Amino acid sequence: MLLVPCPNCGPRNSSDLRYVGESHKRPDPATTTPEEWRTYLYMHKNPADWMMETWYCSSGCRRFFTIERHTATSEFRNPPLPGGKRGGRA
Amino acid sequence: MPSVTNMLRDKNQHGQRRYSAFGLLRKGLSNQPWPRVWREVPLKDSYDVVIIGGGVHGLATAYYLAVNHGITNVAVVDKAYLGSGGSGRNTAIVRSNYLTPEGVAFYDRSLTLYNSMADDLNINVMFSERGHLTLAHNDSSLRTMHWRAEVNKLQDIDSSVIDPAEIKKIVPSLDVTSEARYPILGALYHPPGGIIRHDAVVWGYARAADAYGVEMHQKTEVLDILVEGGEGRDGKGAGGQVTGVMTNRGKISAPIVVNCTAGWASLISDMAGVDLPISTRPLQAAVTEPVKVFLPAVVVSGSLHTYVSQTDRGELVFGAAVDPYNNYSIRGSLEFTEGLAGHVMELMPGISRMKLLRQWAGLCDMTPDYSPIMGATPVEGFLCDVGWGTYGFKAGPVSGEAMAECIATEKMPAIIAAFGLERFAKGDLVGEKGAAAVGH
Amino acid sequence: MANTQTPVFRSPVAAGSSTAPATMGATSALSLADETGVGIVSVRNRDEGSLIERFATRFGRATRSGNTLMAGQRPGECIIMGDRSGVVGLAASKQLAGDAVVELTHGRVVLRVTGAQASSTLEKVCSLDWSDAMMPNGAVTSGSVAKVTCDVIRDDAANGTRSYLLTADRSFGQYLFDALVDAGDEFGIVVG
Ligand SMILES: Cc1cc2nc3c(=O)[nH]c(=O)nc-3n(C[C@H](O)[C@H](O)[C@H](O)COP(=O)(O)OP(=O)(O)OC[C@H]3O[C@@H](n4cnc5c(N)ncnc54)[C@H](O)[C@@H]3O)c2cc1C
Ligand SMILES: [Zn+2]
Repeated sequence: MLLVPCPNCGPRNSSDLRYVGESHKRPDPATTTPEEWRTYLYMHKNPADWMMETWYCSSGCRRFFTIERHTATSEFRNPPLPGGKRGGRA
Repeated sequence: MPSVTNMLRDKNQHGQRRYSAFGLLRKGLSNQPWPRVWREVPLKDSYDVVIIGGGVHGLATAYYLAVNHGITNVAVVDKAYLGSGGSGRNTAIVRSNYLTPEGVAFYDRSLTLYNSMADDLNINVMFSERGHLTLAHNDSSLRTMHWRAEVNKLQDIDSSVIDPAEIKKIVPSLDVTSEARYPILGALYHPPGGIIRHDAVVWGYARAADAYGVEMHQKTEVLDILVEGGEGRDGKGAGGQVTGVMTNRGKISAPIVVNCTAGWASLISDMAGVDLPISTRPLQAAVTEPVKVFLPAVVVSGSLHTYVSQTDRGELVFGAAVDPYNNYSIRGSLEFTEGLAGHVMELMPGISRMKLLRQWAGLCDMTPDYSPIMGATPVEGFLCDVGWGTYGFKAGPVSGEAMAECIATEKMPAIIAAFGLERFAKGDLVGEKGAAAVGH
Repeated sequence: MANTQTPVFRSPVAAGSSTAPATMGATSALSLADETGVGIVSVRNRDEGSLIERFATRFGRATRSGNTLMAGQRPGECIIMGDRSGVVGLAASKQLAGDAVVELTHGRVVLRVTGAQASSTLEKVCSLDWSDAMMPNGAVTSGSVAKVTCDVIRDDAANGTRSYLLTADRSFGQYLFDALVDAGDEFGIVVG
């Protein structure tokens, strides 16, 4: 089982969290065009490499957080600390 | 359509001999080795078309380019061996009871091609139209099934909703009592659905394409796509023109390059500077020890994220939904086996003593709407046939036929018109989640 | 904190419906009690600091004051448990602008697992780390127990006996109860 380091709860089984997916910068809804908005919604880099992604700690602290994971080895690095700073231990 | 059978009658120009019962007997008695199924030839430095990915999609595209359009200066390159991707790992379910009219018409054409494949390709693909049942355990899935049945019937697909008593008649081993933890309320029944021998389909296309002079190059990994004149980095991206590919065996020039790499599609596409709406997820499957045949149909349960069929050898083949997070690794997981075992037990309590023999995984190229991405990209000459997710094996023949037409005529054939990459920017999705969420 | 009031809300756990073994006795090292009906109020505020000040607890910790338990259940969320009118009154008396105060009494099942074997029982159905280092008395966390999302508070008895309070969505009550009885069977779990 993949252990996901939640900044609030510590390492948790991935089944205790919900995977949200690749993190992208959200365009400003007030000024974006429909095409830009759809690009934000649908397009992915989907690298076989380190990737910034979002998880939701659904069974624990119920917080969203972003974290870097390698999509071939599933290692985490620079996990966030409580409050959002990076650099914890994976 | 010209059939390869005629070409293969007795021997063809490359010395291929027809497969036949008599041939099998002769080989059995004489104990001679079988000849190679396709030639191994030196890699040239240019082709009319380079197809990346030696799965069912790449090979079918090559075959139909040759047989329907006479385009034979074609190379199919694969970084590993033919069928090493999803095409050799899937659970081989073939059906056409999808949810959208576009999807139904498309997959139905594939079923038609599968039906005549053994003759067309002169290989025993063991297609068994044994019937396909999708169980409903709650009102909302029953509603989706009625919806699917009506869409299907309008397009003359044999598909209807049946009640638990009828289900029990078709599959006696199912627990249809109301005491089950997830009682079965009904099922979508699709008699033409079934299973096929996936390896034979892959080898059949490779062998038939080879007979027309198409080249298959295994262990040939594409490292870069060569593009000129694009607006992105290094002249790649929108507005560019593809000129070839760089591989671990050197450069190959080609005015047309087709991306048929399924789970790896984003990586290849990125080499040309084209973004895709794809996430790569592993899908796992497992197989049990063989037992006496007792399961006559393919049984799928969306709510329980599981499906099962029995092979001719008697093994039960199980599949599930994709893993819950993106991954390029095909390691299996214990959660999968545990969840699968629990769910299968709820459906068929009688098989609790059966042993799993193996589990494996393959990479799936998931799209936001569970429909494929086919045809042109913003880079001229760089085409894609990707986004096959957990359901693309059954689409191999029709995709190959349509992609070949697309390459030869430079127009998007009507049957795949809805599946273009531009639909995402336009917001014109073809939502098939209701018929494809559990991979098969 | 046993709820001695006439329950205002019917427990989601049907009495006698469990598969509890007949070997009941006061000597058991493990017991399971249904405390559903105990008052529960959730107070949320983006300003974690103001919660800490008012309820003398922070995320991950619980403090007890008499019969009232105040638990920092999530960042920015405090759960107050105890006598129903008491906790509702307490939350109201300390309410500030910006608080979201919701009474959850009707929506939650409350089960208490007590005894030396309590953590061994929970380990069987939950992947949380139940060691004393990670979950000392007064620790608060949440996670999935028998695949049901539960809030968990380590709330030892006055005599020091190990005890855990689990709360979950009410509709899971009977299932969670049965799952815990099943897990505790090998340790001779007693209901009540
Ligand atoms: C467990 C499982 C069960 C499934 N069950 C079903 C089912 O029941 N029914 C169904 O219809 N579908 C099913 N599918 C989906 C189906 O298998 C795939 O959609 C389909 O096989 C995709 O075929 P393809 O030819 O596009 O790609 P693949 O067969 O995946 O081939 C892609 C090829 O590209 C090659 N490649 C990748 N990168 C490079 C590179 N850089 N250079 C050269 N070559 C490269 C790979 O080596 C690979 O051989 C299942 C999939 C899995 C994993
Ligand atoms: Zn958390």
